[in-house]
Amino acid sequence: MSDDRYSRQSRLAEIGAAGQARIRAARVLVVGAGGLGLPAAAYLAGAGVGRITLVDHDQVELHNLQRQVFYRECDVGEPKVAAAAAHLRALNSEVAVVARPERLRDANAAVLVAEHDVVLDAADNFSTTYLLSDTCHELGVYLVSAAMLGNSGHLGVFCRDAPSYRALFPHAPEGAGNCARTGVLGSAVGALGVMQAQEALKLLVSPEHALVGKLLTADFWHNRFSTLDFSAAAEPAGAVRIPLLAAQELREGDLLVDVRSAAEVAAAPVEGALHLPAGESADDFAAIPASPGRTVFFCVSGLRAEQAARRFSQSRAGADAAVVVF
Amino acid sequence: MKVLVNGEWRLTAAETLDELVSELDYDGLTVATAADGVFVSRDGRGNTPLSEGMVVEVVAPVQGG
Repeated sequence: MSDDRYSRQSRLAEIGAAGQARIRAARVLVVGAGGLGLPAAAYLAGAGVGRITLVDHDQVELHNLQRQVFYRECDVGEPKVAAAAAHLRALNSEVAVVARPERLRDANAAVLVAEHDVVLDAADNFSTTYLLSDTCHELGVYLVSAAMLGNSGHLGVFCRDAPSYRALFPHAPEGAGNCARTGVLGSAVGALGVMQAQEALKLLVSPEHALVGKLLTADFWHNRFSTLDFSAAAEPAGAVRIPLLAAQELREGDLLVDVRSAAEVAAAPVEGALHLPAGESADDFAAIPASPGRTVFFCVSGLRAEQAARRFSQSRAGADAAVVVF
Repeated sequence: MKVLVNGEWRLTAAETLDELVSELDYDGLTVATAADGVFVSRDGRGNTPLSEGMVVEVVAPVQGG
């Protein structure tokens, strides 16, 4: 029965029985169960990957369905990983699907990455991408990273014997767009997600054919695709890792610094936090009192907070800075 | 000279990749650049001379998925 199920791919010279056995034995971590992660995971499940772990802390919302087409209207309000896992199990009961309804953060990243052979970055924010890349780089695990905005995005294979994401993109842009603000077309992000599955399968079977050390940029509106080779990119020297925390990891004595704009704070105030808007008084860290505990920055996605925390830790020797995402 | 930047021909007075990135108003700190398909680091752009018909890619990192 099993042989029949995968015969259309195992008869390919590129896969064969040996390749299928490797796919069957493989464990793939998919971080982000959205427009990229769901199609990627679905094709990996179809191909018979032995274990697929899904990590995402979000619930399904109605505005997800335009692009996250594996969810159903009846899934709205459910944890994404639970709905996604049910879908994958229904597609292929031979696959062990592990649903982790939590945010990737420093406390769980290393254990999760170490338990898998290939990692897919299908997250929607730079903080998660940098954390995944730092962890994969340290542990020597391939990272298939993709991101999409509007109709354009990029896809590459990082870490292990390729440079990390940080080597290619040492600095994330301040005030970068995201799907909520800029918008994204479902078929475009889905196409890139399916390509992540394709890269993951190649890494398992025949890594020399994968985009290792290469970045594909794809514009699905103007049909322009281009590849650059970053295999010789140097790792940035002295990059400080700012720990990424979840809300439940905050403790007594932490000093919270809110770097959101005044308008954002007014719309959704957080009590007990020092307000220091990013960009306006970005380096006015004198307002932050010396604290025996951690100085924990936050914004919405973690991007502005990470940049502020980095500048703060550079400006104040011995400071224990971190970022929290709610 | 004419160089191909992200698939579009551009007439430029810039002599180096660094000057081209500034001339086209990209954020030099955050973008990744490549000349004829090979990555050039931010520090390397100033000593990467442009040549007629060079294929240049300037890629801004994006988040979203």
